[in-house]
Amino acid sequence: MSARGSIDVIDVQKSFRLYHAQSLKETLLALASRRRLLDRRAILDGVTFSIRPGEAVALVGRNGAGKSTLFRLLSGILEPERGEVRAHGRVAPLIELTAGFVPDLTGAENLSLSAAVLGLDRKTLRRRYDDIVAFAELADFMDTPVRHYSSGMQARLGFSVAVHVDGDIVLVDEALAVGDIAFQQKCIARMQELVARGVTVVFVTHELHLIKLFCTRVIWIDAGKVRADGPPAEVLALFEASMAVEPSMSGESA
Amino acid sequence: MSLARLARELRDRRDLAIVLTWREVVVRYKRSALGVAWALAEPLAMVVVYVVVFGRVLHASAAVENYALFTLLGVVAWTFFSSTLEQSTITLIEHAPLIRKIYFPRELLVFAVVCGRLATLLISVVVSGVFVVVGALTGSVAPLGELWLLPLGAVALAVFAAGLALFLSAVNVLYRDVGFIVRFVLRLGFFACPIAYPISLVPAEFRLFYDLNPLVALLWLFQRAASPTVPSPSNVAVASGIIGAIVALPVGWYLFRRLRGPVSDLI
Repeated sequence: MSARGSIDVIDVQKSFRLYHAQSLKETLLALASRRRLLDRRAILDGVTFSIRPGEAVALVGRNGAGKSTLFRLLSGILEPERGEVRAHGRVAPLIELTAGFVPDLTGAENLSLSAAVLGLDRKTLRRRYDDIVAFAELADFMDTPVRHYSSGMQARLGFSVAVHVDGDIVLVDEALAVGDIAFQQKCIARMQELVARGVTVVFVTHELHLIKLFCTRVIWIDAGKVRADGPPAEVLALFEASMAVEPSMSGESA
Repeated sequence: MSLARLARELRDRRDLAIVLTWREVVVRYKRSALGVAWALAEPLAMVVVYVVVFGRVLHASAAVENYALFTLLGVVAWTFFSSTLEQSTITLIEHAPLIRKIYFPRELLVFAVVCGRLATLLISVVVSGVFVVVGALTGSVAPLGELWLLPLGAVALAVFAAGLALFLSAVNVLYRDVGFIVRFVLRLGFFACPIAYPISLVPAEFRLFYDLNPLVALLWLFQRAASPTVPSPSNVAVASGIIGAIVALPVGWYLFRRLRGPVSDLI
């Protein structure tokens, strides 16, 4: 059995199902005329790697390479078609969960809502409530409905909750671009603290300077496969060289 | 996923279940002056309409004692059932931004709708129960001994609704038509259930077909408190009620779990 904080990704395959029929009517018509109901387009095609406890790993790749899909497989949002994703220990996504905010509820109410969604139990929340509010710098606004918050304030609240959830594995998805520069620096400091504490961190980003700042390893995903895997300096050099050679296609999305 | 793992996961996330249910209730009434009083205002207004239309104009009231109380109990139960199905059918889509971002057991969203509406149902049942107690003391409705059927009815109806809700919420992600179909069927379904009229008014030639509806017996559990003379459901109706209440949840949940791959890809 692997140690807490390790991740095993074993020969994972994932394709998007492109459904041709969008409604019941189209489905019935397609069934009647024996047309294909769906096509599969491979997004990840046999990805295998292991992450040891305490590693800080960045996933890089061009748009559409499959790194976001891989990230969503790691967090359990998606399930692989073939292969296996095993995360040992508690997975905590470090994302600003403003998507779950209810505008009519106060900051404090939304805080407990996000905390519950992120998996922070009530007892722990009570202990950390003040820290979360202080981190978000919103002490004077906790009784105000979130409707009246600026988008920056909402993001700060959402992110501060996530930062205070414990995990053996922390997943970070481009979320460090939250709030103003002072807040961003606080988030980066927090990330470094997690890495120093020996928490496993998996990081999806386009910001190469952040990778150089605290990652110990980079995995480059290209066209659904692992193209390179190793120390940041080495892999990033290859990655940047390929970006220069193969200019990005326009209109491609993640 | 094994059943044991699912059970462990749901136990670990019970705080989330509680918070989501609380939100369902609070958000609905947060910005209204009358708050939860609306939970009863709507069924009461409907009862007034039925007393006039069905009772006075169509003379359904002659077929059952305490027609107003009979209808109130039926309407309260029906309101719970139909609003639960309507809301839970769309709940996964309403929470799509959240579902795309973070993992948690998705059925908690459906259970939160069911439990939130159940809270409203309990308030309505307690208030209706007061009418029943007053009626029983003055000797005009069923003896108080029948009151225990009310909580039994609430639990059975909630379990039945939860099973349908799980299935419908998942299918609606795949086919958005489902939301429209559900609303349409519920509009018609109201008249296919003995709510504004007792089963004794259903023509004998339709009875067998009519009694296949599990709601006939489940509604009776509520309505029986109105009067000892409320006609009892047939054996067929009782059987479909029991089977519906027992089978709906495991089957609905199983299908919900089976569909979670396509649901997470499409949402």
